[in-house]
Amino acid sequence: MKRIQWNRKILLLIPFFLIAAMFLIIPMVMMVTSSFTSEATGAFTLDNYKEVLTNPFYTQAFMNSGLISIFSSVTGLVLAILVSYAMTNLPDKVQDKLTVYINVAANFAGVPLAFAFIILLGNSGVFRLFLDNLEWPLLNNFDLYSWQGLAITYLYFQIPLGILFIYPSLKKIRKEWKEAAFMLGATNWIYWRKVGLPSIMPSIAGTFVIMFANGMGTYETAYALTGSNVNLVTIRIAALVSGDIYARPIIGSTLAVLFAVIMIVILFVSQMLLKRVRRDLA
Amino acid sequence: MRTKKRHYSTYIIMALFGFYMVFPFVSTGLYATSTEWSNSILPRDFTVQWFAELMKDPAFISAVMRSIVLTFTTLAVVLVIMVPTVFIVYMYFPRVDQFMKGLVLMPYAIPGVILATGLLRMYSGSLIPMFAVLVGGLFIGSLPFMYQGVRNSLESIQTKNLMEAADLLGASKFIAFVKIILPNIKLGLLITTLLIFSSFFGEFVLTNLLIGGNYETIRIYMLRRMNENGHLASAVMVAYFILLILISLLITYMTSNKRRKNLRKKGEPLTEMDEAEVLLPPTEDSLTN
Amino acid sequence: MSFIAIDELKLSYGDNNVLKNISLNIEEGELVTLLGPSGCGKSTLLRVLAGLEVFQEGELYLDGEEISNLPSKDRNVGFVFQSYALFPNMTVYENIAFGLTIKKLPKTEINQKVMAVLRLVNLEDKADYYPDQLSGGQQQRISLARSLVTEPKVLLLDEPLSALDAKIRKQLQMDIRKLQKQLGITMIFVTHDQEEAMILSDRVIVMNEGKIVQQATPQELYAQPKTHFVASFIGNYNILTSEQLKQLHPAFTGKSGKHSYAIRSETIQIKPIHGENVLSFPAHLDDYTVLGSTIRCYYTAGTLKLTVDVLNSEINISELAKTTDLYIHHDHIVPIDM
Ligand SMILES: Nc1ncnc2c1ncn2[C@@H]1O[C@H](COP(=O)(O)OP(=O)(O)OP(=O)(O)O)[C@@H](O)[C@H]1O
Ligand SMILES: [Mg+2]
Repeated sequence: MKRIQWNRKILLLIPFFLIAAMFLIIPMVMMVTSSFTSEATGAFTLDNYKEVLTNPFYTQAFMNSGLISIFSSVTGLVLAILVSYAMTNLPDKVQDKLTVYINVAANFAGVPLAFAFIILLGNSGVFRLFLDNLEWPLLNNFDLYSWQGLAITYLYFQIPLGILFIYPSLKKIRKEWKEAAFMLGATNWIYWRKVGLPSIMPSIAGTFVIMFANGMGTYETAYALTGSNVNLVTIRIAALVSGDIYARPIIGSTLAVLFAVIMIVILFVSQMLLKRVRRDLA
Repeated sequence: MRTKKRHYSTYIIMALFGFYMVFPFVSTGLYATSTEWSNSILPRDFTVQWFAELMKDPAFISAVMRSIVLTFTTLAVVLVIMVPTVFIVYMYFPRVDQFMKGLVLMPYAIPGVILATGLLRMYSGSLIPMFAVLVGGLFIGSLPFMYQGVRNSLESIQTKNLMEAADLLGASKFIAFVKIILPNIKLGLLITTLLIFSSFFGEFVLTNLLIGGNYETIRIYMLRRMNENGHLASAVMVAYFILLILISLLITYMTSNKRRKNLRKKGEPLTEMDEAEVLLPPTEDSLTN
Repeated sequence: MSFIAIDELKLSYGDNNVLKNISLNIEEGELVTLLGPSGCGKSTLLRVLAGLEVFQEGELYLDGEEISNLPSKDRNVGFVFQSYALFPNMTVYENIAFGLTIKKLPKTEINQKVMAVLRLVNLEDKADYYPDQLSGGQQQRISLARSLVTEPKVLLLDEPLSALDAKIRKQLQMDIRKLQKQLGITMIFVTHDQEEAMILSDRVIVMNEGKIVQQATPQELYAQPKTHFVASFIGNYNILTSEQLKQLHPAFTGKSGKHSYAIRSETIQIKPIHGENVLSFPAHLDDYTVLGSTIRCYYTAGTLKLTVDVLNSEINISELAKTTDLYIHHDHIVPIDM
């Protein structure tokens, strides 16, 4: 072919772009524009943002979501690294099978997960009653329907999610580690400090960001567990856009836009930094 | 030997982790099969009465039916549109392909609640039925996963090479796609489809926010019963998970089949591809949280 | 006009000029190899002929027809890939029949042709196998058969044998050459193995950095490399400047305008040559390796290092003297461009 002709194949992509426009792009644009629209007059305004940013109820929602996400992702990450490392010591066949089941566990989120924890740790949870019988005050200050409960519950899907990202990169360096150890007789510790950790650091950082974002966006689990007891961004937004009594869709859109912007900035910046780190290492 | 020594702590960690992971499943299972469970480590009896009751509840049957209708409708739309789209983009529009790779992060920036907000803004009170909006929303939610899944399958069969070969034998692009590419990605496609199937089947966020009580799917039913009768709700979950586990088993079975075939061919495991598959699922689970 | 004519072809990827003004003519029934180091543009040139690559300038003729803007599927060109590119979902039979079914030939005719070509590549018994049940060599033969069965005007082969082990490779080289002669088909064969190029071809086209640097028969190429690059790529040449040659033998007078000379290592003798026009000079043996039928000796003469191949049958290793005189006939000192 001498020249690239105008590629008619692009016509075949129309259905896809049509759907993307109808159900993603235009709705998002409308969400943004409505966040700049006055509830009363329909004119352009910044009042919605002023309201959201000054109302402690909404800022607290962001804070709460952030804290739970940070707690669940940091703890989840540490545990995920531990388990991933242990997994690399198992026989290969077992490792393969495990990843499939860990995937199932990562899917065990939302209503069923919340309910399983209610059975165990709820006000009349089996585990709680059991401990009461033994007169162990272990859970006395623990309230499943508060942010503590949410953090514990989030951990359940955060750990598998972390493993699904950490395990492959750990496995990759494990192989090299074996060779390096044989060749140089380096001690375990020196290896990890000089080679191991620096080379998985980018993947750990990336995983952390994803786990954090995952925690921030979680709605179903929190809703099923606490209804609207805990003031989280996702719960707030959902209540504002679909609640019958308190519906204020425009304020909901404003919160949603803020949420999306924050997440996009975090993801974007972390991706840039990660690229930088990878280049430095290479 | 270093590795021998470490096995001890390895198994302790794995056992604790396994226990933690299995615990909720087991307790739900026990709860579903007992009439009364409190104050004891294990329930005192075993019953299937909740399952029997469930089967008699017309609301349950119709919730399952609704979930099935929603799932298959969406799945059909997703497959019919996405498979050719990914193929064309992968083959002929490398720039778009590069852009689409960034999609993987989309669910994290725009999780279900945010997407629902936008969709409600645009469509609530409009002429377009909410069911169609829900299908569209699920389509968007499954995009990253579908894109990666189909793309990986295309890559693993060296699609570009096969298309060139077909081209030089005189086949049109359409014939080559139907007769060569589709049959060869069938397996990968099936696996992707099954994983998406399970995420659609358990969908809650979009359904609840967009249609809510007017269209009670299995998870919404689950939530309603949860507040009425715990044992019954457990039974719903057990039924639901049996289905999911069956699907997972099917996937394990099929992947191991594929691996065997590849082993025969290449004489060594396809580690890179395996990793790609392991990396896939996280994008999907954010759909269901 | 030649059967295949490439006229002032230019191709670049962005700033990377991959093919720089290539002109080439190939006659019907010829087997031509494209030889050159990795990245010199051999595959790209082949893919341009097949219509798989977009180029910017130049013209392409096949059998008298301008084909630049003809899509691949209408060019009637066969292509054999290094990676075989067999369709994994089809049996050997279905793979080979594919091109014919596209042409909507009657079933009986398809059957006839497929079986005939299977016989040609000696794999009749494998018709119902799937590609992954065959060895690499067998797969490549099927790939060859699949391309041949549609009777293309020209068959293009891109390093078809490089994934195979040495023994099967040798065998397939012979098979391909035999087939080509038998069918009288025009072939362009890409390789980076100079030995393969020599064995197979009527004509070798040596490429470097997107240009054709020499085209010649294998014999010519071997005896008369035109440039430093060709001489060093083709193999065992000692490359010397005229000053260096004068050092060896003050009486040497180079040809005017040429500053470099290539001397094939087996043309340097350790036994005296009699007659006119012989250079001789003392040298010291540093080392040697036995390659089989030849012994490769490394000599130092003054400050120069020279490689000399001696036939194993001609000399006993123990007779190799530490210091000896070396002899070169003037005819074997080939002037080359830098
Ligand atoms: N699609 C492409 N985009 C950009 N550059 C390319 C592309 N394909 C090839 N090139 C460049 O063109 C040059 C020639 O590549 P080509 O594949 O023709 O080399 P080759 O002679 O076949 O080498 P080899 O022996 O390794 O196969 C290389 O420098 C390569 O980097
Ligand atoms: Mg090449």
